[in-house]
Amino acid sequence: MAEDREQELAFDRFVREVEPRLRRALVAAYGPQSGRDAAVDALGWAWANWDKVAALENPAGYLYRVGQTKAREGRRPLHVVLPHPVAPDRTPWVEPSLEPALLALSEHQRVAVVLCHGFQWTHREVADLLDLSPSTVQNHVERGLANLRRALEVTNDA
Amino acid sequence: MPDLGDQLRRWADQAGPITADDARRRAAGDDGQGSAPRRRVWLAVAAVVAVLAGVGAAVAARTGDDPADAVRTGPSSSTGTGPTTSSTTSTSVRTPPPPDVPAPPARFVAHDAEHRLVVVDAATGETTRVLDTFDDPDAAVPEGEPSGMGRYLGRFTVTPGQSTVYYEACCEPAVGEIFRVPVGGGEPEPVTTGTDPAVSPDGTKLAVIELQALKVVDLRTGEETTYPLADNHPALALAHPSWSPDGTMLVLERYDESVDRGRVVLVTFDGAQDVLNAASTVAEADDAGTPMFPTFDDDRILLVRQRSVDGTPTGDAHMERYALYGDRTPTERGVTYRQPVVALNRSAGGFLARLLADGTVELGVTDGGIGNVITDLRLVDVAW
Repeated sequence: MAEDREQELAFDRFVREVEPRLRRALVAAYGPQSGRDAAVDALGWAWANWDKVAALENPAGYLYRVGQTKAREGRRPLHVVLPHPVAPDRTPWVEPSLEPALLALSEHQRVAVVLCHGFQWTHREVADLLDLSPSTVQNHVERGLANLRRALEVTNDA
Repeated sequence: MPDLGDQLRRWADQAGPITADDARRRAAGDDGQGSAPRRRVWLAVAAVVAVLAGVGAAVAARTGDDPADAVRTGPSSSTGTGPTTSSTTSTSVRTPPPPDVPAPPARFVAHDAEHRLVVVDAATGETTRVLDTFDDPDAAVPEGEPSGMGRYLGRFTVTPGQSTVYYEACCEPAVGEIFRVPVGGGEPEPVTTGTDPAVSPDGTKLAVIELQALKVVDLRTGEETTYPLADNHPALALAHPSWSPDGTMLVLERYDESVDRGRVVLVTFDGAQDVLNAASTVAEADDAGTPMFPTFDDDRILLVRQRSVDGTPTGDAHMERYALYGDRTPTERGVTYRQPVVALNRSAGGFLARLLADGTVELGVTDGGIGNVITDLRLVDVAW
């Protein structure tokens, strides 16, 4: 029992550390609804395979792929499902044109732009997650941002 | 427009946090609180999940998404079949191509830092030597010619099936000479005179530059057609021809006043003999004279070139693409690099191979991203 409790505590710590990054990455790839669901699946898989996951060097990267697999297994549609971008108070808190602009990006571009530009991940961190080279991530960010800015007609978003 | 970064954070964080208990419930099939994974009641569920994950991983591996499939640095089977020497090179190779697109070539041909013509496995970076007789200043000097003017390997092109390499041996004779050699290794065979060979996408024609003329060789019959410049339209040099995917057009660089700054012209083979004089200008080099390496994109029929960002030929470079039809306005869909592209080549399937100034090779470049990236082979030129 003590060993079980120890595992539970270790998993709790693991989730607190990994969950925000994993969730945001999968949300970037598949949208808030499907992405979050894929993240729950991936973390559930981690719990069921805790011995293996605890020994991984890059568990977030591995679980990202688990989440990708789950998202593509047919339980959820492959396309990105986005909620309506208008909050209940009818205040357009997310620019309406952001949704189609994000949808127009490739999956890698969308993940790289959201994580690097939205959450200040480094290119190396995204590269580790996606198993890409940092230069490739940089290319995705640059290309994705250029496409987003053109679509949103953003000239200065610093 | 609100701050874009803030908008992206708001969009992504619509999804609420996930707790460890959420994960346990999902693992248990949403039927109650979970417990330690070793409990008996858990094992069946975990086994099913593991099997599903295994199946998913197998599927992902086939589509190139499994983590274990992403990095392969060890030796693999040799690509050479002839009397060549194989050497395994430790490389940083990243990421398979995205799924649902045609696969880029599994190998490419390169001029390596040791002055050899080699075949490189695109997945592992393993190199297999094809020829190693270049860049020796004392090699193959014609009798009576001054020493130190031996031949060296110039530009080269690969047939669509990657069976044969056509390469330029420069510069004796001064007009250049084109040879071909099997990719698997073998004896080079002279083909014609000229420089800058470019084999057509269907493999039936070879375009070369012969002084101030464009020459097209029919590789089936050996027939040569020369397209000279008119006397009143002199040019210092022509270079870097590249065929359109359908083989009806060709782009090349033309230098009129200085070899430091050229322009890209589009040649259309419409049966006329003066196609070179009728060629239209598509793009001019920037003030820094950044080399352009025009080529085509299979899907969108776009032309690729690069411009200096900081006004120097060695600084950041921005790749631009031009629509060949319509108003030929830059599409602004390019990307900026920390150094210029020093070689650019399109495969028969429309995938680009880019060689950057630091020797990094980016393979399988498409709108959807970049396939493999090989960082430490220190190559001089690439073709696939």
